[in-house]
Amino acid sequence: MMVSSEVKLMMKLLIKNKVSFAGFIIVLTFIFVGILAPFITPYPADARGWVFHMNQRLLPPSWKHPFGTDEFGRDMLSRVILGSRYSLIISVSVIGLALLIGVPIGLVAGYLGGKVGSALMRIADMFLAFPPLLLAVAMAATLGRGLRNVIISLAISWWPWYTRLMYVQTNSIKTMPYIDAAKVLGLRTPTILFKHILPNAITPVMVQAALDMGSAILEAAGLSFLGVGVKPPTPEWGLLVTEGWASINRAWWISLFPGLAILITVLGFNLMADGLREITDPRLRRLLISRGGRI
Amino acid sequence: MKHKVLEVNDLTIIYRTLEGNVHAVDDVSFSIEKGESLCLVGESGSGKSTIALAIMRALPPNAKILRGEIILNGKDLLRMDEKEFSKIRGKELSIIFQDPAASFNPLFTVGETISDVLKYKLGINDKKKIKEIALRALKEAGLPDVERVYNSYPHELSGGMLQRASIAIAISVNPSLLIADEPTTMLDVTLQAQILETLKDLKDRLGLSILFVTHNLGVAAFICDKTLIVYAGRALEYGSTEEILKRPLHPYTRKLLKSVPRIGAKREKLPFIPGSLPDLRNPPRGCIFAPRCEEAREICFKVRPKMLEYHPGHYVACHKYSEGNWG
Repeated sequence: MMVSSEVKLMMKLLIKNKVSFAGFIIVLTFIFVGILAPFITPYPADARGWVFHMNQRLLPPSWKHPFGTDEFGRDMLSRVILGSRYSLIISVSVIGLALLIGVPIGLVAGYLGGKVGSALMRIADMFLAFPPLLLAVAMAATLGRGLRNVIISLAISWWPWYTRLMYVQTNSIKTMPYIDAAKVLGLRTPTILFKHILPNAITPVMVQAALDMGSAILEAAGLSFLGVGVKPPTPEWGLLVTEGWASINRAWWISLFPGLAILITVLGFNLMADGLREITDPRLRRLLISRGGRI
Repeated sequence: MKHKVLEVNDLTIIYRTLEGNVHAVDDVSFSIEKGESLCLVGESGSGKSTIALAIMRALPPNAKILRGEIILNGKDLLRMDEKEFSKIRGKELSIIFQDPAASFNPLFTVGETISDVLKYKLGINDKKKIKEIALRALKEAGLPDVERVYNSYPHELSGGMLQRASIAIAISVNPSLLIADEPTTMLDVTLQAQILETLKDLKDRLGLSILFVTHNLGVAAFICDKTLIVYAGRALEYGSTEEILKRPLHPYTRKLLKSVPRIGAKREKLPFIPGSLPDLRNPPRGCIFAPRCEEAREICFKVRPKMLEYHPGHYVACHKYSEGNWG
């Protein structure tokens, strides 16, 4: 009862903020299209990419092919739609994996502190010392091309950010008297960590994760663009942009539409996360509620 | 003789800092009998909270207990291993903190929090029984509509209600001793009175022994049978609250009582005690209060006064009252 009224209030606040609501709608559409992609592509074979249509190469946008066709005569709309599925898979698994590695390490390091905590945090710092994309490129180049390797290399360059965030949060929450009380009760350390500290510390991490979903898509596209990402003919958005690169003077549409898809999706995640940050920050939230949803 | 619930003897605690050892508590002794309440009264930095923390064995890591014993129901808490003590803490000993909002995990309802305490501390597993005990404790603590409070999250309750809820948790385990560390400081004045009333009522009805930590003599007068005046880590005066308020012996206590504002008094500048707390890294050799004491003589700066029983049950550490020393 209590929780549902809380959710209702959050929805209300989310809808009130037009911009973040637009972001929310974009993200929902993206997820929806991503899941349904194989069933809504006009030309499923073109989407998967193992076909040639020599008679319809480089056709500009028309009613038959709204996004035009590429060098092999494949329908770009179908490829962009199926591409959303790859972007969805990549963003969800990269962020999921990074959270799975980063959050427990930050939690343990923050709670234990001392030598163990320092050791864990210095390991995280070593990863943070490299520019994230550079580290991911190096990893991906070593592991070889492919969807799985893209996910692994991005997740490995990503987890330390969550570790840092979680570490700071845990440090401030572990000094609260109610955590002392939990210790006095004789609860086991894992129970204190995961039942008492984690739920109190996770909110900023989740907001950051929502924001990062967009960045993960962008970086995956970057890897593909640089030639260390997924293998052709996978219709991943970054790869589609690269494929159009060579013929951009003759056929602008090949790069434009996947590029726009990346732009809109990343923008959607950013707008949504911004709204989420506002409604989960207790101080901003009070302000939002008292002013009827707008700052 | 009555059963002594708590006996603190010659407790001496230092904090080790980079700038040297701070003598936070020096040779403090007192005792609490069953059903009795004792107030530790002192200004900020006098070591009163350090004493309370030492009893809970919750001192910060740089604190060291040099001497003394803390005996709860015949067992010395300081010579107990962690496992043995964990059975006592939160069961025979419970505590109420200053800030009630911070003592509750915001993600659990008050009921869930109490249930956890009863489950882990008293080993009760029957859910119906747990709820029954919890509701009764909430009612004892003076909360209305206990069913609603039981299902409420901390942010849905006011500060006063939360403090009552934490009192409920503290008494639900039937502790031998309740430590209240300035439990009314964060509340507004009308609520303070109500909470004190509740605690007094609980003490009388349940025969609760309470160790009250406060800087407020008014609070001491209201709720405590006995009072221990601490100053800069040392006990200066000890006795029944009534005696101390009526016939204060130590010059510090007298000054302290004079600086309490009174309603109906003439409008004039409130008397205060000139000077400030001594540097506890190098405490003065003689009486700790001598540098601020108007009546101090030569001996006060040289010899440390001992706690002496001036009237039966009324102790004071001041040369003025020891014969022979004072001309």
